Amino acid sequence: MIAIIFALLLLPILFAPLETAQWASTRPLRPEPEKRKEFGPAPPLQLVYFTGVAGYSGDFLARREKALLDQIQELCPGITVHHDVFPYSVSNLPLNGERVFRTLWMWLHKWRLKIPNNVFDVLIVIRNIGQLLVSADPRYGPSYNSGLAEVMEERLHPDAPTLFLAYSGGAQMAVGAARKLEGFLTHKPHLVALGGVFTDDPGIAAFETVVQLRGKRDYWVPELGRLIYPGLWRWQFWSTWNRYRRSGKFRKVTSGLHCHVGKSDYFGFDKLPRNTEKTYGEQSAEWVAKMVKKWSNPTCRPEVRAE
Amino acid sequence: MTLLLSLGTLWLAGILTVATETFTHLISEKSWTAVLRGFLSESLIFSATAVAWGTSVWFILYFQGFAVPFRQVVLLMGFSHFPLLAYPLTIIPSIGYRLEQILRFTVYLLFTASVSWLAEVEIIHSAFACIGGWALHFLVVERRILSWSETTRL
Repeated sequence: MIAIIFALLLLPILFAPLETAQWASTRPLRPEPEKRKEFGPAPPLQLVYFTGVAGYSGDFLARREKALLDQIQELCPGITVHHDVFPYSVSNLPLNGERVFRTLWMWLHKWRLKIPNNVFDVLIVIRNIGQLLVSADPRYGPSYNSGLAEVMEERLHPDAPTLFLAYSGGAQMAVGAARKLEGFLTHKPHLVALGGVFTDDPGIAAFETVVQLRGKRDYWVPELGRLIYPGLWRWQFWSTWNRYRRSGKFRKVTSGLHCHVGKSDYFGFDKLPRNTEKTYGEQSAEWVAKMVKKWSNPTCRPEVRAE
Repeated sequence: MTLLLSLGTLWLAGILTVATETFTHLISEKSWTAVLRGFLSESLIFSATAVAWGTSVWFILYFQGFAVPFRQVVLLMGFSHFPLLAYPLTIIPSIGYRLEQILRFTVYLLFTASVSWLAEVEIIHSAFACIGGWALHFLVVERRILSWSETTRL
Protein backbone atom coordinates (compact mmCIF):
# COMPACT_ATOMS: atom_id res chain seq x y z
CA MET A 1 0.00 0.00 0.00
CA ILE A 2 2.79 2.42 0.96
CA ALA A 3 4.62 1.49 -2.25
CA ILE A 4 1.52 2.29 -4.32
CA ILE A 5 1.09 5.68 -2.63
CA PHE A 6 4.77 6.41 -3.15
CA ALA A 7 4.55 5.45 -6.83
CA LEU A 8 1.46 7.62 -7.30
CA LEU A 9 3.23 10.56 -5.70
CA LEU A 10 6.13 10.10 -8.10
CA LEU A 11 3.90 10.17 -11.18
CA PRO A 12 3.91 13.99 -11.47
CA ILE A 13 7.72 13.86 -11.53
CA LEU A 14 7.78 11.08 -14.15
CA PHE A 15 5.44 13.04 -16.42
CA ALA A 16 6.99 16.43 -15.68
CA PRO A 17 8.86 16.66 -19.01
CA LEU A 18 5.59 16.30 -20.95
CA GLU A 19 4.65 19.95 -20.39
CA THR A 20 7.95 21.05 -21.88
CA ALA A 21 7.59 18.53 -24.72
CA GLN A 22 4.13 19.87 -25.52
CA TRP A 23 5.37 23.46 -25.41
CA ALA A 24 8.37 22.66 -27.61
CA SER A 25 6.20 20.85 -30.16
CA THR A 26 4.12 24.01 -30.71
CA ARG A 27 7.18 26.14 -31.40
CA PRO A 28 8.05 27.00 -35.01
CA LEU A 29 11.12 25.20 -36.34
CA ARG A 30 12.75 28.46 -37.42
CA PRO A 31 11.28 31.30 -35.39
CA GLU A 32 11.19 34.63 -37.22
CA PRO A 33 13.40 37.29 -35.66
CA GLU A 34 11.24 39.58 -33.56
CA LYS A 35 11.33 43.32 -34.01
CA ARG A 36 13.06 44.98 -31.07
CA LYS A 37 10.51 46.43 -28.69
CA GLU A 38 10.61 50.06 -27.72
CA PHE A 39 11.60 50.48 -24.09
CA GLY A 40 11.02 53.50 -21.85
CA PRO A 41 13.62 54.88 -19.44
CA ALA A 42 15.42 52.19 -17.50
CA PRO A 43 14.57 51.86 -13.80
CA PRO A 44 17.45 52.04 -11.29
CA LEU A 45 17.02 48.30 -10.83
CA GLN A 46 14.53 45.64 -11.80
CA LEU A 47 13.84 42.85 -9.34
CA VAL A 48 12.32 39.57 -10.43
CA TYR A 49 10.93 37.34 -7.71
CA PHE A 50 10.99 33.56 -8.08
CA THR A 51 8.74 31.84 -5.60
CA GLY A 52 9.50 28.50 -3.93
CA VAL A 53 8.24 25.05 -4.93
CA ALA A 54 4.92 25.63 -3.21
CA GLY A 55 4.07 28.29 -5.84
CA TYR A 56 0.66 28.24 -7.47
CA SER A 57 0.68 30.99 -10.11
CA GLY A 58 2.38 34.22 -11.07
CA ASP A 59 -0.62 36.29 -10.07
CA PHE A 60 -1.19 34.69 -6.71
CA LEU A 61 1.46 35.36 -4.15
CA ALA A 62 1.22 34.42 -0.48
CA ARG A 63 0.51 37.38 1.81
CA ARG A 64 3.90 37.08 3.51
CA GLU A 65 5.78 36.97 0.20
CA LYS A 66 3.88 40.04 -0.97
CA ALA A 67 4.73 41.76 2.34
CA LEU A 68 8.44 41.10 1.83
CA LEU A 69 8.40 42.53 -1.69
CA ASP A 70 6.44 45.59 -0.49
CA GLN A 71 8.99 46.19 2.25
CA ILE A 72 11.85 45.98 -0.25
CA GLN A 73 10.09 48.42 -2.54
CA GLU A 74 9.49 50.75 0.39
CA LEU A 75 13.16 50.65 1.35
CA CYS A 76 14.30 51.14 -2.25
CA PRO A 77 11.83 53.46 -3.98
CA GLY A 78 11.95 53.61 -7.77
CA ILE A 79 12.88 49.99 -8.45
CA THR A 80 10.59 47.81 -10.54
CA VAL A 81 9.42 44.56 -8.96
CA HIS A 82 8.15 41.70 -11.13
CA HIS A 83 6.46 38.90 -9.25
CA ASP A 84 4.11 37.71 -11.95
CA VAL A 85 6.45 35.05 -13.36
CA PHE A 86 5.40 31.53 -12.40
CA PRO A 87 8.75 29.75 -12.67
CA TYR A 88 7.30 26.23 -12.52
CA SER A 89 5.72 26.45 -15.94
CA VAL A 90 7.59 26.70 -19.21
CA SER A 91 4.98 29.12 -20.58
CA ASN A 92 4.01 30.95 -17.36
CA LEU A 93 0.77 28.95 -17.28
CA PRO A 94 -0.54 28.98 -13.70
CA LEU A 95 -1.80 25.82 -12.03
CA ASN A 96 -5.35 27.12 -12.45
CA GLY A 97 -4.73 27.75 -16.16
CA GLU A 98 -5.92 25.49 -18.98
CA ARG A 99 -4.51 22.23 -17.71
CA VAL A 100 -5.73 18.64 -17.53
CA PHE A 101 -5.60 18.64 -13.72
CA ARG A 102 -6.83 22.22 -13.31
CA THR A 103 -9.71 21.20 -11.04
CA LEU A 104 -7.39 19.24 -8.76
CA TRP A 105 -4.93 22.14 -8.39
CA MET A 106 -7.76 24.60 -7.73
CA TRP A 107 -9.24 22.29 -5.11
CA LEU A 108 -5.86 21.93 -3.42
CA HIS A 109 -5.35 25.67 -3.51
CA LYS A 110 -8.74 26.28 -1.86
CA TRP A 111 -7.73 23.89 0.92
CA ARG A 112 -4.44 25.69 1.29
CA LEU A 113 -6.19 29.01 1.77
CA LYS A 114 -8.42 27.45 4.43
CA ILE A 115 -5.68 25.45 6.19
CA PRO A 116 -2.16 26.67 5.37
CA ASN A 117 0.58 24.02 5.11
CA ASN A 118 -1.91 21.13 5.07
CA VAL A 119 -0.84 17.65 3.97
CA PHE A 120 -2.29 18.00 0.45
CA ASP A 121 0.15 20.84 -0.24
CA VAL A 122 2.64 18.06 -0.86
CA LEU A 123 1.01 17.37 -4.24
CA ILE A 124 1.64 20.91 -5.46
CA VAL A 125 5.16 20.78 -4.07
CA ILE A 126 5.91 17.46 -5.81
CA ARG A 127 4.50 18.75 -9.09
CA ASN A 128 6.72 21.84 -8.90
CA ILE A 129 9.77 19.82 -7.89
CA GLY A 130 9.20 17.86 -11.11
CA GLN A 131 9.48 21.09 -13.11
CA LEU A 132 12.59 22.08 -11.13
CA LEU A 133 14.20 18.78 -12.07
CA VAL A 134 13.25 19.38 -15.72
CA SER A 135 14.90 22.81 -15.63
CA ALA A 136 18.11 21.34 -14.19
CA ASP A 137 18.24 18.36 -16.59
CA PRO A 138 20.80 18.75 -19.41
CA ARG A 139 18.34 17.04 -21.82
CA TYR A 140 15.16 18.99 -21.11
CA GLY A 141 16.59 22.07 -19.41
CA PRO A 142 17.63 24.04 -22.52
CA SER A 143 14.05 23.99 -23.84
CA TYR A 144 12.43 24.68 -20.48
CA ASN A 145 14.74 27.55 -19.65
CA SER A 146 14.23 29.11 -23.09
CA GLY A 147 10.51 29.27 -22.37
CA LEU A 148 11.08 30.82 -18.97
CA ALA A 149 13.52 33.35 -20.40
CA GLU A 150 10.99 34.34 -23.08
CA VAL A 151 8.41 35.05 -20.40
CA MET A 152 10.93 37.25 -18.60
CA GLU A 153 12.04 39.07 -21.74
CA GLU A 154 8.47 40.33 -22.12
CA ARG A 155 8.76 42.03 -18.73
CA LEU A 156 12.37 43.13 -18.37
CA HIS A 157 14.19 46.23 -19.55
CA PRO A 158 17.39 45.15 -21.31
CA ASP A 159 19.49 48.07 -20.07
CA ALA A 160 18.52 48.15 -16.39
CA PRO A 161 20.51 46.33 -13.70
CA THR A 162 18.67 43.13 -12.81
CA LEU A 163 18.36 41.31 -9.52
CA PHE A 164 16.74 37.90 -9.23
CA LEU A 165 15.36 37.26 -5.78
CA ALA A 166 14.65 33.56 -5.38
CA TYR A 167 13.28 31.58 -2.52
CA SER A 168 14.18 27.90 -2.08
CA GLY A 169 13.73 25.98 -5.36
CA GLY A 170 13.20 29.25 -7.20
CA ALA A 171 17.00 29.63 -7.14
CA GLN A 172 17.43 26.85 -9.72
CA MET A 173 14.74 28.38 -11.95
CA ALA A 174 16.56 31.74 -11.82
CA VAL A 175 19.87 30.05 -12.67
CA GLY A 176 18.26 28.17 -15.57
CA ALA A 177 16.70 31.30 -17.07
CA ALA A 178 19.79 33.49 -16.56
CA ARG A 179 21.86 31.74 -19.21
CA LYS A 180 19.10 32.18 -21.77
CA LEU A 181 18.89 35.90 -20.98
CA GLU A 182 22.57 36.48 -21.70
CA GLY A 183 21.93 37.92 -25.14
CA PHE A 184 19.03 40.08 -23.98
CA LEU A 185 20.34 41.83 -20.88
CA THR A 186 23.09 44.40 -21.25
CA HIS A 187 24.39 43.86 -17.71
CA LYS A 188 24.90 40.48 -16.08
CA PRO A 189 22.16 39.91 -13.47
CA HIS A 190 22.67 39.37 -9.73
CA LEU A 191 21.03 36.64 -7.71
CA VAL A 192 19.98 36.75 -4.08
CA ALA A 193 18.74 33.37 -2.90
CA LEU A 194 16.76 33.04 0.31
CA GLY A 195 17.64 29.53 1.45
CA GLY A 196 18.15 28.72 -2.23
CA VAL A 197 18.30 25.14 -3.47
CA PHE A 198 20.91 24.98 -6.21
CA THR A 199 21.75 22.29 -8.75
CA ASP A 200 24.86 21.94 -10.90
CA ASP A 201 23.26 23.92 -13.75
CA PRO A 202 26.06 25.73 -15.63
CA GLY A 203 23.78 28.80 -15.84
CA ILE A 204 25.29 29.94 -12.53
CA ALA A 205 28.15 31.46 -14.55
CA ALA A 206 25.71 33.93 -16.13
CA PHE A 207 25.48 35.89 -12.86
CA GLU A 208 27.65 38.79 -11.87
CA THR A 209 27.14 37.92 -8.20
CA VAL A 210 25.27 35.22 -6.31
CA VAL A 211 24.45 35.73 -2.65
CA GLN A 212 23.00 32.86 -0.66
CA LEU A 213 21.16 34.31 2.34
CA ARG A 214 20.74 31.47 4.77
CA GLY A 215 19.26 31.43 8.23
CA LYS A 216 21.04 29.72 11.12
CA ARG A 217 18.05 27.40 11.56
CA ASP A 218 17.66 26.60 7.84
CA TYR A 219 19.51 23.33 8.31
CA TRP A 220 19.02 20.93 5.42
CA VAL A 221 16.77 22.18 2.60
CA PRO A 222 19.47 24.30 0.86
CA GLU A 223 21.72 21.22 0.90
CA LEU A 224 19.24 19.01 -0.98
CA GLY A 225 20.84 19.69 -4.36
CA ARG A 226 23.96 17.83 -3.29
CA LEU A 227 22.00 14.57 -3.17
CA ILE A 228 21.57 14.19 -6.92
CA TYR A 229 23.83 16.77 -8.56
CA PRO A 230 27.46 15.59 -8.50
CA GLY A 231 28.60 18.93 -9.94
CA LEU A 232 28.02 20.42 -6.48
CA TRP A 233 30.39 17.98 -4.80
CA ARG A 234 33.63 19.67 -3.81
CA TRP A 235 35.92 17.05 -5.35
CA GLN A 236 34.47 17.80 -8.80
CA PHE A 237 36.71 20.85 -8.91
CA TRP A 238 36.25 21.25 -12.68
CA SER A 239 32.44 21.69 -12.56
CA THR A 240 31.04 25.09 -13.51
CA TRP A 241 29.56 25.41 -10.05
CA ASN A 242 32.89 24.84 -8.26
CA ARG A 243 34.75 27.13 -10.65
CA TYR A 244 32.17 29.84 -10.01
CA ARG A 245 32.46 29.38 -6.26
CA ARG A 246 36.24 29.72 -6.47
CA SER A 247 35.93 32.88 -8.57
CA GLY A 248 34.72 34.77 -5.49
CA LYS A 249 31.43 35.81 -7.08
CA PHE A 250 29.48 33.46 -4.83
CA ARG A 251 28.91 34.57 -1.25
CA LYS A 252 27.17 32.89 1.65
CA VAL A 253 25.64 35.29 4.14
CA THR A 254 23.99 34.29 7.40
CA SER A 255 20.77 36.25 7.45
CA GLY A 256 19.84 35.64 11.07
CA LEU A 257 17.86 33.00 12.89
CA HIS A 258 15.57 32.17 9.98
CA CYS A 259 14.29 28.65 9.37
CA HIS A 260 13.17 27.41 5.93
CA VAL A 261 9.41 27.11 6.37
CA GLY A 262 7.41 28.34 9.33
CA LYS A 263 6.57 31.42 11.31
CA SER A 264 10.21 32.41 11.58
CA ASP A 265 11.19 31.80 7.95
CA TYR A 266 12.51 34.44 5.54
CA PHE A 267 9.05 36.02 5.26
CA GLY A 268 7.92 35.41 8.85
CA PHE A 269 5.67 37.86 10.68
CA ASP A 270 7.01 36.70 14.07
CA LYS A 271 9.15 39.14 16.00
CA LEU A 272 12.86 38.48 16.28
CA PRO A 273 14.06 37.25 19.67
CA ARG A 274 15.49 40.05 21.83
CA ASN A 275 14.12 42.58 19.36
CA THR A 276 10.42 43.18 19.73
CA GLU A 277 10.25 45.71 16.91
CA LYS A 278 11.53 43.81 13.90
CA THR A 279 10.07 40.69 12.28
CA TYR A 280 11.96 37.90 10.50
CA GLY A 281 10.54 39.12 7.18
CA GLU A 282 11.68 42.68 7.82
CA GLN A 283 15.17 41.43 8.56
CA SER A 284 15.27 39.61 5.20
CA ALA A 285 13.91 42.71 3.44
CA GLU A 286 16.71 44.82 4.95
CA TRP A 287 19.35 42.38 3.71
CA VAL A 288 17.92 42.43 0.20
CA ALA A 289 17.47 46.23 0.24
CA LYS A 290 21.15 46.61 1.16
CA MET A 291 22.10 44.68 -1.96
CA VAL A 292 19.57 46.48 -4.14
CA LYS A 293 21.12 49.80 -3.13
CA LYS A 294 24.58 48.47 -3.87
CA TRP A 295 23.73 47.20 -7.33
CA SER A 296 21.17 49.72 -8.57
CA ASN A 297 22.14 52.32 -11.11
CA PRO A 298 22.63 55.56 -9.10
CA THR A 299 21.86 57.86 -12.03
CA CYS A 300 18.38 56.37 -12.31
CA ARG A 301 17.43 56.74 -8.64
CA PRO A 302 14.45 59.08 -8.17
CA GLU A 303 16.29 61.37 -5.71
CA VAL A 304 19.22 61.79 -8.11
CA ARG A 305 16.83 62.45 -11.01
CA ALA A 306 15.07 65.17 -8.98
CA GLU A 307 18.37 66.96 -8.39
CA MET B 1 16.48 -21.37 -27.12
CA THR B 2 18.93 -19.66 -24.71
CA LEU B 3 20.50 -17.79 -27.61
CA LEU B 4 17.07 -16.69 -28.74
CA LEU B 5 16.30 -15.46 -25.23
CA SER B 6 19.59 -13.60 -25.10
CA LEU B 7 19.07 -11.94 -28.47
CA GLY B 8 15.48 -11.17 -27.45
CA THR B 9 16.82 -9.37 -24.36
CA LEU B 10 19.25 -7.44 -26.52
CA TRP B 11 16.50 -6.52 -28.99
CA LEU B 12 14.07 -5.40 -26.29
CA ALA B 13 16.77 -3.47 -24.45
CA GLY B 14 17.72 -1.77 -27.70
CA ILE B 15 14.14 -0.83 -28.54
CA LEU B 16 13.50 0.55 -25.05
CA THR B 17 16.78 2.47 -25.02
CA VAL B 18 16.31 4.01 -28.43
CA ALA B 19 12.61 4.76 -27.88
CA THR B 20 13.34 6.50 -24.56
CA GLU B 21 16.17 8.49 -26.06
CA THR B 22 13.93 9.45 -28.95
CA PHE B 23 11.46 10.86 -26.46
CA THR B 24 14.12 12.92 -24.73
CA HIS B 25 15.37 14.09 -28.15
CA LEU B 26 11.84 15.08 -29.14
CA ILE B 27 12.05 18.07 -26.85
CA SER B 28 15.13 19.47 -28.53
CA GLU B 29 14.53 18.21 -32.08
CA LYS B 30 11.00 19.62 -32.47
CA SER B 31 10.47 17.96 -35.86
CA TRP B 32 8.63 14.63 -36.01
CA THR B 33 10.37 13.52 -39.21
CA ALA B 34 13.76 14.23 -37.67
CA VAL B 35 12.71 12.24 -34.61
CA LEU B 36 11.54 9.27 -36.68
CA ARG B 37 14.71 9.37 -38.76
CA GLY B 38 16.65 9.49 -35.52
CA PHE B 39 14.78 6.48 -34.10
CA LEU B 40 15.47 4.32 -37.16
CA SER B 41 19.12 5.26 -37.44
CA GLU B 42 19.71 4.90 -33.70
CA SER B 43 18.13 1.40 -33.76
CA LEU B 44 20.43 0.40 -36.56
CA ILE B 45 23.46 1.88 -34.82
CA PHE B 46 22.56 0.16 -31.54
CA SER B 47 22.30 -3.29 -33.18
CA ALA B 48 25.44 -2.79 -35.27
CA THR B 49 27.56 -1.58 -32.36
CA ALA B 50 26.29 -4.38 -30.11
CA VAL B 51 27.40 -6.95 -32.68
CA ALA B 52 30.70 -5.10 -33.08
CA TRP B 53 31.21 -5.15 -29.30
CA GLY B 54 30.69 -8.93 -29.01
CA THR B 55 32.86 -9.60 -32.07
CA SER B 56 35.69 -7.35 -30.90
CA VAL B 57 35.82 -9.04 -27.50
CA TRP B 58 35.84 -12.47 -29.14
CA PHE B 59 38.64 -11.37 -31.52
CA ILE B 60 40.76 -9.93 -28.71
CA LEU B 61 40.45 -13.11 -26.67
CA TYR B 62 41.06 -15.30 -29.74
CA PHE B 63 44.30 -13.51 -30.63
CA GLN B 64 45.46 -13.73 -27.04
CA GLY B 65 45.03 -17.47 -27.16
CA PHE B 66 41.78 -17.82 -25.25
CA ALA B 67 39.61 -19.88 -27.57
CA VAL B 68 36.07 -19.16 -26.39
CA PRO B 69 33.07 -20.05 -28.57
CA PHE B 70 31.68 -17.01 -30.42
CA ARG B 71 28.17 -18.22 -29.65
CA GLN B 72 28.87 -18.03 -25.91
CA VAL B 73 30.22 -14.49 -26.19
CA VAL B 74 27.12 -13.35 -28.08
CA LEU B 75 24.93 -15.09 -25.52
CA LEU B 76 26.58 -13.29 -22.60
CA MET B 77 26.62 -9.99 -24.46
CA GLY B 78 22.87 -10.23 -25.00
CA PHE B 79 22.12 -11.06 -21.37
CA SER B 80 24.43 -8.26 -20.18
CA HIS B 81 21.97 -5.80 -21.69
CA PHE B 82 19.34 -6.87 -19.17
CA PRO B 83 19.71 -3.69 -17.00
CA LEU B 84 18.73 -1.58 -20.01
CA LEU B 85 15.17 -2.93 -19.67
CA ALA B 86 14.84 -0.27 -16.96
CA TYR B 87 15.78 2.43 -19.45
CA PRO B 88 12.29 4.04 -19.65
CA LEU B 89 12.88 5.20 -16.06
CA THR B 90 15.51 7.58 -17.42
CA ILE B 91 12.67 9.82 -18.58
CA ILE B 92 12.51 11.07 -14.98
CA PRO B 93 14.12 14.50 -15.12
CA SER B 94 17.59 14.95 -13.59
CA ILE B 95 17.55 11.62 -11.71
CA GLY B 96 17.03 9.78 -15.00
CA TYR B 97 20.01 11.51 -16.54
CA ARG B 98 22.28 9.99 -13.88
CA LEU B 99 20.45 6.66 -14.11
CA GLU B 100 21.37 6.47 -17.81
CA GLN B 101 25.06 6.49 -16.95
CA ILE B 102 24.59 3.93 -14.17
CA LEU B 103 22.65 1.52 -16.43
CA ARG B 104 25.24 1.70 -19.19
CA PHE B 105 28.06 1.14 -16.77
CA THR B 106 26.21 -1.83 -15.27
CA VAL B 107 26.02 -3.41 -18.74
CA TYR B 108 29.79 -3.03 -19.01
CA LEU B 109 30.40 -4.52 -15.57
CA LEU B 110 28.10 -7.48 -16.26
CA PHE B 111 29.76 -8.27 -19.59
CA THR B 112 33.23 -7.85 -18.11
CA ALA B 113 32.43 -10.21 -15.25
CA SER B 114 30.86 -12.81 -17.52
CA VAL B 115 33.75 -12.71 -20.03
CA SER B 116 36.17 -13.12 -17.14
CA TRP B 117 34.23 -16.20 -16.04
CA LEU B 118 33.90 -17.62 -19.55
CA ALA B 119 37.52 -17.20 -20.62
CA GLU B 120 38.87 -17.81 -17.11
CA VAL B 121 40.93 -14.64 -17.15
CA GLU B 122 41.54 -11.91 -14.56
CA ILE B 123 38.76 -9.34 -14.25
CA ILE B 124 41.22 -6.56 -15.20
CA HIS B 125 42.11 -8.50 -18.33
CA SER B 126 38.48 -8.82 -19.42
CA ALA B 127 37.80 -5.20 -18.42
CA PHE B 128 40.44 -4.07 -20.93
CA ALA B 129 39.12 -6.48 -23.56
CA CYS B 130 35.59 -5.08 -23.20
CA ILE B 131 36.20 -1.37 -22.84
CA GLY B 132 36.77 -0.44 -26.48
CA GLY B 133 33.61 -2.08 -27.79
CA TRP B 134 31.58 -0.70 -24.91
CA ALA B 135 32.81 2.81 -25.55
CA LEU B 136 31.85 2.48 -29.20
CA HIS B 137 28.48 0.93 -28.35
CA PHE B 138 27.45 3.67 -25.94
CA LEU B 139 29.42 6.69 -27.05
CA VAL B 140 27.70 6.49 -30.43
CA VAL B 141 24.34 6.59 -28.64
CA GLU B 142 25.71 9.24 -26.32
CA ARG B 143 26.88 11.48 -29.14
CA ARG B 144 24.23 14.05 -28.30
CA ILE B 145 26.40 14.94 -25.32
CA LEU B 146 29.11 15.79 -27.79
CA SER B 147 26.64 18.01 -29.66
CA TRP B 148 25.60 19.61 -26.37
CA SER B 149 26.25 23.11 -27.75
CA GLU B 150 23.50 22.54 -30.32
CA THR B 151 20.84 21.90 -27.72
CA THR B 152 21.94 24.84 -25.63
CA ARG B 153 21.48 27.12 -28.62
CA LEU B 154 17.72 26.47 -28.60
